[in-house]
Amino acid sequence: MLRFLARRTVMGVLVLLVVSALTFLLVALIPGNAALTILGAQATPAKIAQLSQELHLNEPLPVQYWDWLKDAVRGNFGTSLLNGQSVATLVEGRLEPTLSLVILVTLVTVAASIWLGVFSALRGGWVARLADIGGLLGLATPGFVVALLLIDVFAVKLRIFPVEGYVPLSSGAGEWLRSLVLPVIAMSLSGAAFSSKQVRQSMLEALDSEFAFTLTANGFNRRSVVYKHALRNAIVPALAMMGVQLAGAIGSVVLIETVFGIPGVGSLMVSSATQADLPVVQATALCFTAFVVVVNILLDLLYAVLNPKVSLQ
Amino acid sequence: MVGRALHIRQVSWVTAAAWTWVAAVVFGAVFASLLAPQGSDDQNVLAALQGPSLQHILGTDPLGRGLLVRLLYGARPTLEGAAILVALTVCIGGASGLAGGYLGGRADRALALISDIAQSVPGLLVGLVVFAIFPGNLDLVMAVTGLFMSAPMYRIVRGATLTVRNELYVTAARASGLSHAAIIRRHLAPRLARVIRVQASMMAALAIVIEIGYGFLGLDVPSPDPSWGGILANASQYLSTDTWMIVPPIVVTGLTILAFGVLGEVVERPARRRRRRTPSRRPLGTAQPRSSKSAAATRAPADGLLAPDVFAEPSGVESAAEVPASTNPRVLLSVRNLSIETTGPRRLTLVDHVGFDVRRGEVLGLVGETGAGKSAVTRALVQPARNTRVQGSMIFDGVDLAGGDKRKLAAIRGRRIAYVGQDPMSALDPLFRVESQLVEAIRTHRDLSKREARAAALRLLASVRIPSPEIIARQYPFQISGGQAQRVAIALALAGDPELLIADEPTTALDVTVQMEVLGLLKELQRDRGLTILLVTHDWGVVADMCDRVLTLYVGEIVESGAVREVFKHPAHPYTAALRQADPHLQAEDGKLTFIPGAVPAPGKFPDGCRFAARCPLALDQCRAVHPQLADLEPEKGGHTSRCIRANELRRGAVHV
Repeated sequence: MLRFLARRTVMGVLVLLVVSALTFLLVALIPGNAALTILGAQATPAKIAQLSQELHLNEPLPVQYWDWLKDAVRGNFGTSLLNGQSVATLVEGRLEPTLSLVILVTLVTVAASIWLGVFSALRGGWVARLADIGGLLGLATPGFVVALLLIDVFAVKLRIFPVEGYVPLSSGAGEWLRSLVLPVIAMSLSGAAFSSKQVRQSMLEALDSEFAFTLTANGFNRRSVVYKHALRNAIVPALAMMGVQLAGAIGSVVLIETVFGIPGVGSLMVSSATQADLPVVQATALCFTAFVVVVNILLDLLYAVLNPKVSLQ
Repeated sequence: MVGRALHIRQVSWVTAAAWTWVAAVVFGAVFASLLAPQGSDDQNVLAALQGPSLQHILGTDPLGRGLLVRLLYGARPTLEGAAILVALTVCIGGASGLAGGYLGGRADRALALISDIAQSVPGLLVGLVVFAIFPGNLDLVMAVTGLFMSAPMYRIVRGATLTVRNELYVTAARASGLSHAAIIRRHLAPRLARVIRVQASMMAALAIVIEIGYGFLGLDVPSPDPSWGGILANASQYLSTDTWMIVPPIVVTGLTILAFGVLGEVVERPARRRRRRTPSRRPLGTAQPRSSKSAAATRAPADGLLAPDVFAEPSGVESAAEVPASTNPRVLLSVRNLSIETTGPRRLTLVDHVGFDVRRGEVLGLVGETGAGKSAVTRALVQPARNTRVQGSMIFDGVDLAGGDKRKLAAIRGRRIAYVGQDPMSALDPLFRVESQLVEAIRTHRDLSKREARAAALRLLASVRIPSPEIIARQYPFQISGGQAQRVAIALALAGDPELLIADEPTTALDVTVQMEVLGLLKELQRDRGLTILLVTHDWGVVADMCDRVLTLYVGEIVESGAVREVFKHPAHPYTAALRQADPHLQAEDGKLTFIPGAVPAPGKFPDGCRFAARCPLALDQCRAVHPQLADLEPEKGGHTSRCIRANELRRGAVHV
């Protein structure tokens, strides 16, 4: 188990390194004077010089990266090109809403897909049809479109939820949750619908399996066969698929935060990307990648706990 | 090769619709300037935000531009971007999947690692980073995003490659000197083509979602050029006041994504049949009625052929009226008229009016080839398979197992009837320890504390002759051997101290030496606990060792039944006789391997007469014409039945097989 954890952590670090290297690589690919291109219309000789200094553009690529890495490890991610603020502080200030979203979306997606999948496997019939249709809609409608529709119906017309904005946890858990309901639904919908189909499939297979038959034949309670034995066997393969879904969902945070006007890391990334504020873009990309890595590690842990073959072999 | 490429498969209407839509969208995007020569920026403020009209079929946007026109032109960046992304995933994912799957070893591991890293990075974010550095360069963004989204394609192609590579004909091709390139071209490419096509469609759907996201953020095309995402963003600003505007882009993008999803086989086609969860039951009364003629006719004359009019019935029905379920207290289980057929588009009869009694304390063997229906019978006793229909009665101590009273059945399972299956490695839940499953079995049937149950579990393991039960108890099923697993399965079955044990080929999956041990164990348990065993097997050696009586099944029917000694010494049915001769254990040292020529008739294609006639050396014309009944050859002594009209000749030795 420890070796498994160590391996996943190393992988996670590798991923972060790759993403961080990506920015440098891309900047290096800019033909001509990179600083000039980046600053575009705002270019003045002074700014060009400053940017070149900031991004270490005059040094060879590996040195650039190494300099950045040394700083990054110590928590220094540079300063924003737009307002000179420390990137680390900028991102930190926006962590809470995004973290809330990521955690809630993960929980909701996992819970909903398991519940939906099991329910449609056991009841079949109209529930399965409903889940299928939901899956279809979830696939066909990008998260931000769902968000738009949800806002129109539930926020503007029905006024149950706020149209936009984020209420920090310190202002009260009720209001905090209320401001997050619509965004979380928008982000979890397609992932949950997708994964629930996998869970349903696995559940049906588990219920059809030889061991389910043997246990039933020898008198095990129906409840136990279904919810203790078959369910566990069904969740295990479904977890792998959920990891992929969640990665996509976490990526869609940027769009959702924009639609809902949530002052999180995602909307920061979008605004900095549109304004070519590279250090911020890089840091936010790393932040999200870190989220994905952690979520994947947690899912892997859950998988290892449920599946003895992983931890014992 | 050409012939195969032109092979027309059945295409569902959904797939056809998807292709049509995709073609329409592509056509519209490519020929937009021909279809709408006024261009995408034909503004007319007076016509702003109108609903559908004759002039603008889908309405207008805030600047009075027709939505249909904007969507037509706006399809271009989306389709172009998606095409680039898909092309990249196919090239990179496909090539690396092929390389990894085919070459294996370190190359495979390295590629797997790279793929794992790539899929941990959400595609959308990568795109944003690229946009930040190369603003407005949609092509580059989609290319880099595609790079990071190659992981699924890689996995699928690698999987398909591995499957093909490990197939024997590829090994044969290599052995005959075919080069790697030729193998790839000839064997892999056709298989991979379909897999790649399907995955590429799926990727296209995702790519469109991503590109629309970029468009929504205003990143993909410079204004006033339209893009689907941009139109959505625009419409979202007027959502409450002019709701119509958002409808066409949602519908168009949604349909396009769905269409690619269908082609990517992510969306199930509605033609899929729904499977029933429980088998249906028809009341007994619908069994075919029989004339009373056969009442007298089923008793055979002492000599010669059984009277021809015995076989006047078109099908071998033993109706419940004729031979009712036994009320003899020595009979534990009485099966009558058991018929099992599959539901679904093709009705196949698996078991055809089978009837037998299981007497207390005996070991009854059920013998037959694969497909004869033995497992169908035994599994129906426990729980009929989902896609079958069971008719007839299976009376166990007054309770009809086919009856469906769930509570009564639940009370019987485990406590009075237990089951051991063929494959010990799949009989137990792989995620729970042996001990846990045994304890649960014990506590289901007896009121014990966890500690007491654990002790009982260890005793149970000892009683099935498992050495060091404490160690085995803590193991998971995948950690123990087949023989040990089967013993554990037997222990599980005995946890409720049942009277009847159904053993469905319990030793088939085991090594020969282990077979002997497990059979010996079963015999011992039978003696010590007075167990009644219904033993399914295809091995006559096992029958000789273990069974008191035996039933032979052929194509869903009983063809012979009787005491083992009798059946062995004087088989009364050519099939039984032939099976005994074909028994590999009994073959003469250097003689030819005897087998029964011909093949078992396919279900649904039963001949009119005797089902064994085609392969029977003793067959007469009458055999092929009339379906024979099961007749009791020694009604006074009781219990040697046969379905062959020449049974007595065979028994006497007047004819041989």
